[in-house]
Amino acid sequence: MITARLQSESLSEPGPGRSLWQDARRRIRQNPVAIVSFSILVLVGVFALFGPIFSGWSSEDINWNVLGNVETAGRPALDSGHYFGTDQLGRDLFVRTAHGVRVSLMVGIIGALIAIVVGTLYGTIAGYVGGRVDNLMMRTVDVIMSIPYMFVLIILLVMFGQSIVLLFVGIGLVSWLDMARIVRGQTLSIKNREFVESAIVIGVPPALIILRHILPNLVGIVIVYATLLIPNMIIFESFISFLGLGIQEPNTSLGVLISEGASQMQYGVLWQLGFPLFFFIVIQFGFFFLGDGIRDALDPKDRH
Amino acid sequence: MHSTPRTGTEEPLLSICDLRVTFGTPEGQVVAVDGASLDIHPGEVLAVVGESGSGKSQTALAVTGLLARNGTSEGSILWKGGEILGLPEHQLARLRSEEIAMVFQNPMTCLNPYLRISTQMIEGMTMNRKMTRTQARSACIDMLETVQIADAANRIDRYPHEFSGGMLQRIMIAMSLLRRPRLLIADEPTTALDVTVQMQIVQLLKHIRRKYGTAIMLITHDLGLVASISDRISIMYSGQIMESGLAENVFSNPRHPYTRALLDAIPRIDQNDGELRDIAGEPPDPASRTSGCPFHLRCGYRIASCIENRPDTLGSREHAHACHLSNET
Amino acid sequence: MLLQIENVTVEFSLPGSPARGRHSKNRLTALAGVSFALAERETLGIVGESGSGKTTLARAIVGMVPVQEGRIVWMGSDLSSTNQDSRRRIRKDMTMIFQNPLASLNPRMTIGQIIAEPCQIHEPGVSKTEIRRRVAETMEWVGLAPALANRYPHEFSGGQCQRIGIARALIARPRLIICDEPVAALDVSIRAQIVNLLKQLQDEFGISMIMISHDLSVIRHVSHRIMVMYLGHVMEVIPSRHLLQKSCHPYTRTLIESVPVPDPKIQKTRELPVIKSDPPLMNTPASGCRFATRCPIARDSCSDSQTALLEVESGHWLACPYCELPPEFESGN
Repeated sequence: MITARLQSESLSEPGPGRSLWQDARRRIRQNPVAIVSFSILVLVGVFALFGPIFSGWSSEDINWNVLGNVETAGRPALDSGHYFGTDQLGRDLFVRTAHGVRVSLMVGIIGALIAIVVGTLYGTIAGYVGGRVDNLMMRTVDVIMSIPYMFVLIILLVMFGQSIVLLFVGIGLVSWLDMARIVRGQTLSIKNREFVESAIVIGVPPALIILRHILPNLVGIVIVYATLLIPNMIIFESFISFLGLGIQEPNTSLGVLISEGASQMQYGVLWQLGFPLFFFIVIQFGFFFLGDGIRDALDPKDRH
Repeated sequence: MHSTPRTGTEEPLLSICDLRVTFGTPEGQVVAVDGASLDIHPGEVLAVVGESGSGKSQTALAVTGLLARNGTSEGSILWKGGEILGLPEHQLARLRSEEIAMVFQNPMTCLNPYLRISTQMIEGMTMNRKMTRTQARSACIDMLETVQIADAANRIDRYPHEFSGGMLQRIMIAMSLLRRPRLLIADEPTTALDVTVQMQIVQLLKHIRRKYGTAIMLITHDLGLVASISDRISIMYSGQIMESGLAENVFSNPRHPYTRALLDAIPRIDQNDGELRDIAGEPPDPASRTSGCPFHLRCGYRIASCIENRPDTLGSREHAHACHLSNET
Repeated sequence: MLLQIENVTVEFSLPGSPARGRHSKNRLTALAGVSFALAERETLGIVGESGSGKTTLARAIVGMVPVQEGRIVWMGSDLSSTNQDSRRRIRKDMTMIFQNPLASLNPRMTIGQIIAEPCQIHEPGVSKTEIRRRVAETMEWVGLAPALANRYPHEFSGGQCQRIGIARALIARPRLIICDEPVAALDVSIRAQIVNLLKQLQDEFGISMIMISHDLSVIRHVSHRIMVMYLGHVMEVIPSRHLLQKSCHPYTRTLIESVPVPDPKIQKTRELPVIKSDPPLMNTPASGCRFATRCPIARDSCSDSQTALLEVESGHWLACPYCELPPEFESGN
């Protein structure tokens, strides 16, 4: 027999509850910086995907009228159709920038995806199983981390020729390492939380414990870290491309465009550097602020 | 108001009148303390009893000016007759370092684990009192002996993790007493400790009160602890004081239904109690304070005016309470 | 007997020093040869201060801590020799309630999912509607409105979270529930609600319970028998109705005297316990009675050899040869 008990006001009405995700979504909607960053990133993405449609040029067409007279004829102008001007070879910079943004974003997102899939799986297993397996797995990560990957990648690119495949191999090799470490640490602390212990006591099999009790509690930190990882990957690619070892002509990326623009800046064609650099910076800030916003939204300090 | 001075004695050391502490949060205003009044005379032990969210700790923090950034306090807090609410930070800091000391629930988090006990104790003394290190050190050792740390001369040079929880709490008390404060605010000082150790701390606090005449404001949820040490009690619920008075009066003749319900709800070691009478429901959410008496949602003696009007506090310093029912009868 | 614990010893190696030998200094003995038996429908209270090994004992019984020596026998079968499969089946019958109500609930699951989990694990064939029905029934039983099943744990107060934990423990109809400090984290006015709920649970379903707490007055209120532990050793086992009059181990008496009574008149006249110093650190090896260093009646011989736990009266076991038996006891009452 249970005596009638008073439920507090907010809990007396039936209906769906407010999950932590909904809480986070509500909080992020109240964060103007995150919302502005997100909107800008969406606009940049739209520009990268659909921008070229609004231009009469393709990324490989060379405007022969401009060639040899880029400083004056290749200026950004609406009537010539070169909204962002042309590059030194007379190619339309608007279309090439859109193209470069697309490639850079792809590199960043693929790098982050590799990190999410490989890093999370690797880190969770190491953290949950623990003991010798954990030791072996994490020492392997340490070994890979201690390799000066930039140096190795540059040597590989020089030896085997520059290819986009090799670039992705390089990014895939390094991007998941930090993620694996972060996820492992987080798993270790979640593993010792009482709700995991209670699942063990109930008799939930290990695979289900990872799937149902550990992974959902990791998603937050994984999303935050992945959001912050994308700009890092873009910098990584840009650096390789800046050195002339990354994306190859006629393909392009922000790094390639910035490199080309930088090499021409003393000839009065600053727009060649300016436009790609503008997008590069906007993307960097966008992801950093968005990541910060997500982290604040997921921060449990606000909850009781 | 029940803060009529005790006949023939000196003015109160600390006198809180109609204190209101609010916190601004993204979800709206939270009222932590809602018109609480109490006073402490020199050498007196006052226990402020309440559950979590009753505002007992925030009252203490308001006195020392240590409220969180989003908190504001209104009303009046008199220290030896002078208003200290709204004093500039440097004056409050001086008050905290010289006259009002605080001891918290978890001694481990209040000490720096990388510094020796001696370093942490002597630091404060040589800074403010222009003592030499040797003088300060021997004063510290004396104080550690007062709190019954055996072999204090050697142990003072150890690190915090080399002590048990009970010893650390005694060390914290010793540190807080170094400047001979007039008032010691102890916020749940024994909650993190074992029962046998809890008794030692209680005895220590009694000893200190006798030796230095320090007034103690004991903040706790444990009625057993209160019965062992306090002269007077203030029972808080939902930011308001429900009942207050001399410990004997409140325990032997509880007037407020909440006090009675609390006493009925705890199992006692010395009696064979039958079924515990539980209090239905939960304490109200500080973010949504109700009108009228805050206890009316859970009270078995509720009458119409409980829901509408807040009861006045009636009675004397010896025994006062805020309840419509007993006010009428 | 539902559960028999025979001479169970649990040791941990201290971090930072890979302990090799069994008797290395860097091992910490959390439980030293603990034995007891639990009958059907019985509630055993285990009381002790921090470091007494009471929580380790609970974790050893549910198999979360490896046992170095001794046997845990569940309804006639030795748990250390059972395979994974039957161990899982036993987990249906033996469950646990934790100290921290909110932390023991997965924040990403609705409370309906949380309560249903044991059902899904142990009875995979049961239909979704049947599970939903049972969840609603159990929620109602513990005093929660079934309409709240879609809510998340963080929307509930501590007392309500503990009810959710009790519902989860109850839904698979276990034979034994181990409660590890079930009310320590709750407010005073909520504690009585949970204590009463646990008592009702036992009366109505006849579930056996092991109740672990540092609070002797709560333990005495809910359990049939009380086991007093100190630094991994059992000091005394006594039926709770005899605790005040007949318990005589100096440690048990110290505990009783240390619990403050909420009445200033009684507190003033009560004899305060004579107890020396703080509990010793657990890894300091001690021979003999572990309580000897703080015991008011200790003799030289106390520190020589560990005293055996002997039955001095039916149901009353004692590990102290020197304490004076209360007069009622000697007169054979």
